[in-house]
Amino acid sequence: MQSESHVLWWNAFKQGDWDAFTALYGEFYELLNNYGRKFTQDADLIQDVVHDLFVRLWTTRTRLGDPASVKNYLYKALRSALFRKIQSLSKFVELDNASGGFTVNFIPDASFRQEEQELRSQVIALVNTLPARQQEIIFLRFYEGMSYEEIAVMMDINMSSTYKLLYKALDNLQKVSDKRFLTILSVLFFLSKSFSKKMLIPEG
Amino acid sequence: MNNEKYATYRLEDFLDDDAFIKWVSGKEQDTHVAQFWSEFPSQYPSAAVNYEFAVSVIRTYRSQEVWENRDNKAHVLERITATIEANNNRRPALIRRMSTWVRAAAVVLIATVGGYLVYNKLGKPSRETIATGYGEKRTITLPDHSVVTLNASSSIAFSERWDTTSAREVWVDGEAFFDVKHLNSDTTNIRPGQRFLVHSNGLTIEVLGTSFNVRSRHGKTKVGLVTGKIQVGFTGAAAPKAMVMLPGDYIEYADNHLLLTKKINKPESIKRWTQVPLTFTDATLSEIIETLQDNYGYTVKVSEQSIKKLKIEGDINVANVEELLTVITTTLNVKIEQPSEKALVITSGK
Repeated sequence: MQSESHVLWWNAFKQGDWDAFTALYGEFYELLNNYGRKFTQDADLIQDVVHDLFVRLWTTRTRLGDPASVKNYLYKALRSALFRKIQSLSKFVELDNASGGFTVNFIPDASFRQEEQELRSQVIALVNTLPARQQEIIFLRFYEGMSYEEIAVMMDINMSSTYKLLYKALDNLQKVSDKRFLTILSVLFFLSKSFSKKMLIPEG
Repeated sequence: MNNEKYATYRLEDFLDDDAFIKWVSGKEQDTHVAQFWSEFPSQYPSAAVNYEFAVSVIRTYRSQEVWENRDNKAHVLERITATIEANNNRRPALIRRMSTWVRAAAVVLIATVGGYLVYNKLGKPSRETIATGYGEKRTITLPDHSVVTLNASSSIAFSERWDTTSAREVWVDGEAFFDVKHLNSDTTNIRPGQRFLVHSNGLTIEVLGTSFNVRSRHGKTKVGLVTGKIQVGFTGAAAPKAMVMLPGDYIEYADNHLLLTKKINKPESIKRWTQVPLTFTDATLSEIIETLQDNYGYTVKVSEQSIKKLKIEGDINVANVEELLTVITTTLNVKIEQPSEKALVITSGK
């Protein structure tokens, strides 16, 4: 689960190894930016938070523990730092997602087969109707591939509320899917399978 | 991992399964676990529809914009360094003296070298899957600049990042032609990072710098080698021993058995589909029907089984299905009706 190099870098960095520190930065910079972007479109704000995060890591390195996952630890640290920053800024200026939004920008023209395109627009429409926290759970679950336990730790919620939030979101998803096109999709799936498995020759 | 519960898995069960989620989001590093999930639909056909739906929902969700802010990567590190320096914290003097861009280069170098030294497995193998629809063909450049041409209704999966310490691996379903970049011309001394493995339906092709074709449809896998040398290994307890193939060698394999091994006169012909939309050599009607169904999504019915054995001698190279049908009706004693756009009925006699 945990990459060996992450542990090596983390331990070396805690001992004051600057190269290991920059290696961690090199490894996680893009991922942290991408995660931060879901909460705000403000690139400067994200950069500031990434800057603050790494400065704090270095200055407090001797007091840091050994997280089960370096990546999840950094995600969580970025998340709370970003929330604090957004909250303090929103006292003075109007921010786009001051209330703690979560937005995923889907790629508009991903070339899929027609039935996939249909599914796609449904999923996107549905995801966009979900409250920010549910969207974040979906992101951590389906994009980052996290377990419930990891999500609960990340978002500071207990396991049961992780389930509740997720089930609510999935329930919505399934309801829409069931009605509109789960059947269509299953039919398409069966058809395509039987195309490739049988020759469709009438007997005799 | 064989378990009764999977046979009745619902959509919700899939979405609730940590192991499934980990695999589908490309975070699974254990190849056995990954194999279990890729073979799930054939192992548990009763849950295949829910499986496919769960996979498409998640893959759909995952095709989203990635914002990496790479342009500012060096700049932000510079700011971090400056702030730490201003706070009077100890840092190696070497870095402090470096110019801005040398420092940026150092990050890349450290990350790369560090990765080279300590990575046993891929750090985070995000799995990329590319699929073609009916009548669609795609040319894909792999992370090592090897080129793959994917035929219609086929898919290829591979890790987004390949490092130099582990084998390059791809998974193929359908038909693909590989032109593999060699990392070492000395095939007797190949390091792990120079290995190139193609997995397809029960067999693994080990490439030793080469170009070859693999076609895996209806549980049958066909491999033909154009140039170079490959070793084909078979998975499964009762499977035959691994074999080395040389240019022109062609095999067909299904259910732990080698169905056919032969030498092709013109090895180049097996990759002709990559250049010409529709191409056949000494093809039987049966083979042509298979291509129409697999690559173009047609439903083809024949009036009697025997006409499927009819053969068109020589090469056929045509641009589209319409031309192909003309070739068939002009060379064979058959009549083709087209009751709907994607349906054909072939009957004997004019």
